[in-house]
Order: sequence, then C-alpha cells, then structure tokens
Amino acid sequence: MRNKFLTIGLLFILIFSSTVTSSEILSEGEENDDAFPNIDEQILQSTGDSGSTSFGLLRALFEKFLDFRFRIGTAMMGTRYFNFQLFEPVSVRSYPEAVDIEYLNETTIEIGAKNPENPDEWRLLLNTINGYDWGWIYNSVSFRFELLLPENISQDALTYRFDPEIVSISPNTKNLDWKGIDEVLKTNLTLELKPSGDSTNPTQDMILKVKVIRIDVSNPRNMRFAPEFANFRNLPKNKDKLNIWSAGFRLQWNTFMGFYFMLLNSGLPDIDEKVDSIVNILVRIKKDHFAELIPPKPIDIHPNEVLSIPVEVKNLGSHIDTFNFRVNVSDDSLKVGQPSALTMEPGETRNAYVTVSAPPVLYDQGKTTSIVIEVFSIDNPELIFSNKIVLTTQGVYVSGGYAYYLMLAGIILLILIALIIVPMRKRRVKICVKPQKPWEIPEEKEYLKKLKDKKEYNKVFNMMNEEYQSALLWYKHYRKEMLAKYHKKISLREFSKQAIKKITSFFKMPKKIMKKKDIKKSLIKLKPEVKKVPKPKEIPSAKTAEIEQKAMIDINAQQEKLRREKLLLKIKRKQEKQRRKFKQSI
Amino acid sequence: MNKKKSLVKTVVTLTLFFVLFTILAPLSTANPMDRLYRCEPEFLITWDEEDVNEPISPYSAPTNIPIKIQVKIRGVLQHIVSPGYAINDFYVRLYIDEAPEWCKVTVNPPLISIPVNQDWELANATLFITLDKDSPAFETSKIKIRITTQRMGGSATIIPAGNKTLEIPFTVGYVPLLAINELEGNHKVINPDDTANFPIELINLGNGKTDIKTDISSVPKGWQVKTISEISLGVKYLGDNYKKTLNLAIKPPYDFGYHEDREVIEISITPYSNKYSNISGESYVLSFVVHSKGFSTPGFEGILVIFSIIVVLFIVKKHKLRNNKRNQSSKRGDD
Repeated sequence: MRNKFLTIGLLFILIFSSTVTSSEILSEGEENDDAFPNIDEQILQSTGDSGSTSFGLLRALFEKFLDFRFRIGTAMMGTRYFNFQLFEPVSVRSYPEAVDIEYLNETTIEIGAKNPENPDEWRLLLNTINGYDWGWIYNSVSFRFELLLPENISQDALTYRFDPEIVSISPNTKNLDWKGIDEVLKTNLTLELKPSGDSTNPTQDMILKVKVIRIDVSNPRNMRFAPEFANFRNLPKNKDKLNIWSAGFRLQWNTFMGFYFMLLNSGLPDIDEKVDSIVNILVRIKKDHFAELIPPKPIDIHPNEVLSIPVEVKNLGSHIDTFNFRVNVSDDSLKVGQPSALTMEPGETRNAYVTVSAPPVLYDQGKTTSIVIEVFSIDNPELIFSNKIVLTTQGVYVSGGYAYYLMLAGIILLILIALIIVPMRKRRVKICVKPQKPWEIPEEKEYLKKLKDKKEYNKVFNMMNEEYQSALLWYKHYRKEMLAKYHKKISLREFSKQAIKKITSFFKMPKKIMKKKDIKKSLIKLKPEVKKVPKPKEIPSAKTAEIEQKAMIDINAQQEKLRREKLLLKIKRKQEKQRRKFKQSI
Repeated sequence: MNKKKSLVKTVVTLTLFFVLFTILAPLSTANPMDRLYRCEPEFLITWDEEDVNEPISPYSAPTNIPIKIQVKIRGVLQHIVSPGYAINDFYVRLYIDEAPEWCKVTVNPPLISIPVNQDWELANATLFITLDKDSPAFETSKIKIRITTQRMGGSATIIPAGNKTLEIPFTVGYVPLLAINELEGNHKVINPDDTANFPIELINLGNGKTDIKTDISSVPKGWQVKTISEISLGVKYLGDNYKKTLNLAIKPPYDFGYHEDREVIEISITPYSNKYSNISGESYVLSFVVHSKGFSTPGFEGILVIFSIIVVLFIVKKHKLRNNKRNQSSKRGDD
C-alpha cells in the first residue's frame, strides 16, 4: 500500500510540475518579465518553505532529475537542447573605430577580427572555420572586403585600396598542410581624400561601410567520410591539433554522422557567397587648411597716397575656414594695414584688402617694393600660405594744405605789392613821363611808311632815334635826380603812413561816388590828393624844413622846365610835320 | 497477494517507462517539459549621464559614449541551463536603429560575445557621435540603439532571441560662426563735408539664430562713427534671412580750413546666441581707413562772395572815374 502511494505521489509530482510550469511559461513575453520570479519563487516556496525534509528531498531529487534530463538533452548533436553552431560569428571591426582623414594624406585603417583569447593577436582564418576539426569540409574559405561610399559624396573624391583585398585559406582532407594556414582575418584599408573645390566632396564627417564577404567553396560529398589526417594512424601525431577527433568519433562519423551531415548540406551551393559582417567606420574629415592668394598686377603708388589693394583669397581647404593675415614689407616708410579675418566656405573666393599708405615725400624718383602677404587658418597658424604684391612708389607730392596756404600768402603778397607799386608808378609818372618813341607816334609812323627811298627812310628814322635817345637820357637823368631828392625827404614811416592813408581813402570812396552830383567835386578833390603825395609838407623834421623848401622850389622849377621842353618838342614835331608836308607838296 | 504484486509490478513498470520516456524525450521528440528549461535573455544597458549632459557641437572631435552591456538568463531552471550552456556564448549584435540625419553615429564593437550565465555578464561598447555643421543648435535628440542576441537551443528553443532597444538622448551645441564681407573695401577718400559709408555683409554660418553686437573700439577726436549696434541673423539651412548688410558711417571733422585727416576706425563684431545670450563666439575686428581731404568752408561763404562782387564792382567803377579824370586833365593840357 505504501509503495502504491509512493508511486502515485511520484507520478503526480512529475505530471503536475511539468503541466503547471509549462502553462505558466506559455504566457511569457517581454511584458511578463515578472512571471519568472513568481514561478521560481512559487516552486522554491512550495519546496523550501514547507520545512519538510521529505519535500526538500523530493525537490532535490526532482532537480537532479531535471538536471540529468537537461544534460541528456544537450549531450550530443541532434538532441533537442544541443545548441549547435558550426561557426562562431566573428567580430570584425575597424582599428581605430573612428579616424581623422586629411586631404592628400594617406590614412590606413586596420580592419579585421582579433583573437578573443588574446586581443593583441589577429584571428587566424583557421579559427574562423573551427580549426582542423571542421575546416576540412571546405575546399576553400575566403574573405573579401568591399568599401561602400556614402551616396552624397562624389565617387572620385576618395581613393582607397585594401591590402590584401581578399584573404583565403584552402584546406584539404589529406593532411594538415593547408594553404593559407597562417593567414589572418585582417586587411589594411588605405584612404586618400582628394583636394577639390567640388561641393560634393566630403566636408562633413561620414560613415564608411566595409562589407566583409565570406566565400565558401565546398562539396557536400567531401563530408561523407572523416578526413584522412584523423584516421587512427595519424591521430597520435595530430593529437595536439585535433580536439574532437578520436578513433570512436571517426568511426561514428563514417558510420552515420557523415552521411547525415552530407544530407544536411546537400542543398548548399558549391560556392556560397554571403555578407559576413559590415564594419562601420566613422570618418572625420580633418580640416584641411589650404588657401590660395592671387595678388593684383604691380601697382603704382604716389607719395602720401593710400591704396586699398584687393587680394583674392581662395579657400581650397576641406571645410569652412577662418583665415587671418600677416603682412611684411621691406620698405619701412610704407605703412601697411593687414586685412581683416575672412571666413569662407570650401572653394569660395573673396577679396582681402591690404591698405598701403605711402610716405608724404615731396619727390620720389621711383622704387619697387614687395609686400609679402601671409595667410593662415586660425585653427592652424603654423601652416602659412604666402604671395607678394609688387608696389612701385613714384611721383611728386605737394601737400594740399601747404599749397593752399602758400597760394593764400601769394595772393596777399600780390595785393600788397600792387598797393605799393601802383602809387609809386603813378608818382613817377607825375614826376616825369617817359618819352614816347617817335616812330610809334601814329603820324610819324604814317610818314615813315610813305618814305620809299631807303636812304631817306634811314635818315629820318636815325634822326628820330637820336631824338628819342637824347630824350631818354634826359628822362633817366631827370628821374634819378628827382627820386634821389624824394627818397631823401620821405622816410619809411612817412611812406607807410601815406600808404595807409591811401588804402583808407580807397575804401572811403564809394560813399562819394554813389552821389552822382558829387562826381565832379570828388574828381577835383582827388587831384590835389594825388599831387600831395610827393609834397614834403608832412615830413616832421624841422631841421630839414629849409632844405625841403628849396627842394620844392627846385621841383617846381624842374616841372616848369619839363613842361616847356615838352611844348618845345611838340612845336618841333609840328614844324617837322609842316616841313614834310611842304616838301611833299613841292 | 499475487494480484497486489502484479499491480505493483505494473505500476513500477509503467513508472520506469514514464521516467525513461521523460529522460529520453530530449533526444528526439517534443515534450511539454522543454518549456521548463526555457530562459529569457535579460539586458541591462547603462551609460554615464555625464557623457551626454554636455552638448555635442558640430566640427568637434567625435564624442565617445561608453556603454555597459550586461546580459544574463532568467528562467525557472536558470541554475540548470546556465552551467549546461556555459560553453556557449551570447553573440550580442549592436545596431544603430535610428539617428537624426545630421548625426553620424557608430557603435563599436558591433558584435560582442558574452558567456551565458544566470548572473550578469558584462561587456563594453562605445558609441561615437559626430554632428554635421547644420545640426540645429540646442535641439535635444535621441539615438536609438538595438541590441539583439541569437536564439539558443536545438530543435527546442531554450533561450529565445533577445531584442532590446535603448535611447540615448543628447543635445546639440551651438557654433557661432560668421562670414564677413567688406563690400566696398576698407578705405575711402572723402571731402571733409562727406560721410564715408562702408557696407559690411554679415553671413551666419553657425547652426543657430545669431545676434550680432557691434562695438566701435575707439573714435578719434572730432570724428563721428555710427552703425547699428545689434542685428539678428537667421540660420542658413532654414533659409531664414541669414545674410544682412550692416552700414558703417564715418564722418570726419568739419571745421574751417584745409583738411588732410587720415584715421583708422576699428569696429569689433561679436556673434551671440539668440537663445542664450551668454554664449558668444570670438570677436571679429575690422579696420577702416578714412582719408578726409579738402577745404571746408566756414558756412558764411555766400556772404563773402556777395561782398567780393561788390568790391570788384567798386574797383571797376573807380577805374572808370579815373580814366574820365585823366581824359579831362589831358584836354585841359591840350587847351
């Protein structure tokens, strides 16, 4: 009875546990994550919390049973729980994961798989095909690398090469001397970015994708029988390279496993090509700083001139760049202002203005200087691009200010001179009028014209000339004498007083002129004023009064004499004219 | 008694059959007990919040965000499955599921092998993020990463395929960047009564709305410099009025006399964020040379002109009067 009870109890536990737990698990999902602890706890509670030794024993027994059952389920290939994975997926990645690439500079990236046991080593291709134990099922296994460029960039912008482009291993079933046995799953990807003003060239960071394509060449018939290097004769010497192969396993393989495996893989193509993995490489386009400076043609600059010279700057770099300038000039006298910083898009051209100021020299005979303009990116001031502006300084410079004030002074001086000279000339005229050339007197001129005989003409002309020379000599002598007397009697102070009086009288005039009736009066008044100039009345010195009086008498006498001479000369001329007329009439 | 014995024998035989069946069942046939072994993969993914708190700016070096990935199995019989599957590894694949188009992001390594265990097993991965120049400033965005593991088991699934996504938030930084064009150069020769106008084109090359503040560093004595002190520029990628022209007006001194003044006027232009005025870029200093050359009149020059005309007329009149007087005197002399 007791055995019966035990048997029924055991059956109940087995059936109950399997049905209840499986029904609970049926409702599992992402949402019911908490279901597991409940079941677990339920079981644990139902077994442990009872405190019953018999139940604990049962639980232990049950767990032992389940454990044993699971071990059976995972014991060999083909069982329900056996996790069969012929090849481990290989983690192919790039080293480094993110790279900076620079224009014209080659950048090499290592792409491959590292040995999981030793990260410093690259993984052998042999390991990717599960070593000698399973690799023999292939004729060859290759890994090919392909680069996928982003769609938004020019396909010519980037040049690349894989070294090697393909890695392969060629196993055989005869021996362990396989071709490519030392090959590792690794390649070097070399990238080079071309400089260009093309806007489709990459300036932004991008993700390059490298496709790792696995090409398996195999023949399922090869799998039917175990490899020869795993036979019982070869086993001892290959023992360190073979892990699973034993005489028993070989027998098992050759008996049914090989056949099963052959059938399993019979649907596979002889050449199987598939993408094993895709490696993403974050490529950061390193700022390439490159600027081209195009200076203008040689320029002439005049003294004191300021020029703003445009210099074309082209950003041939990879990114938006801010360029700063530095200017050097060999001629210290030139003042040069550097252009302001420029921010430009790649391929963009702009003008930078160099301000040059020439020194204010009066005359520069000509000198050629060069201004060295340097441009550099603010991100990399050590990389300098330069060019020269050729400048010729030449010309004359007169400061506008100086010229203006000089002109003003000149005008004032001219006015002053005019104010001094004009009265002086007037006075001289009053003292004595320069004798007129007789041959320029219209009547005389006419008479000379009428003389056709050359001798007669010369005779008359010489006579006139002699007459003129004589009158001129007299005039010079008389003027000299008169001026000497005048200069003696008039001092500078007196002269200046007179000059001032003249000027003031000049400006007082208009009031009188305005009255038409007074014109005559004013003219009469003006007459004595003009005469007054040479009069020595205003000379203050008392000692010289007597001498002055005598001089005045002399001047009057001289004037009278002059008047008489003039009259005589006039009478003479008239007589001469009459004589000529008389001769002509005869 | 014999009946009892035969019954016991039958039960024992049946039990043995049943036990044998349940034991041998995993070898071939399906069994409800398979589900008892089923364990779910669990993921715990963490990253340092400080790594994503700092805004990520365009043009900067890639931002690395280390991620810790922990995996374990969870099930009724995890303690049985875990050692049973100890020789197996989870192959955790990491994908970028979603990311803004202006964001370049990769995760490395893309494949991690983690041992199957009922306790947390840790692996590390790194997220590399860079942003395009047109990334919208101050915008908070997310990168969605998907993590998957392969199914494990034979014909019966013991550990189903795992799938988990996580979202990593980040903020875009602001880059104040200006392009400045001196449209009419930086040098002008003017008359003292003229004003030198320098149009300056400002282009916002940054990734956010930008305010421009101008500052005239030093104004020479007697000179007047005027410009707009503040301008707001839109964003280029939005086509939002990102280009404006600023006019700098420089007026030289205008006092009586001849002038030949030459001065360098410096103006600094600083970009600021429109959203947060405390974020500013570097100042751009521009120099302008103005050469004021010429004569400046006192203002009452019209009166002077009238006066000089009167003087000239007066002189002419006087001259005529003198001539008349001379003629009269010469007539008298003749008489």
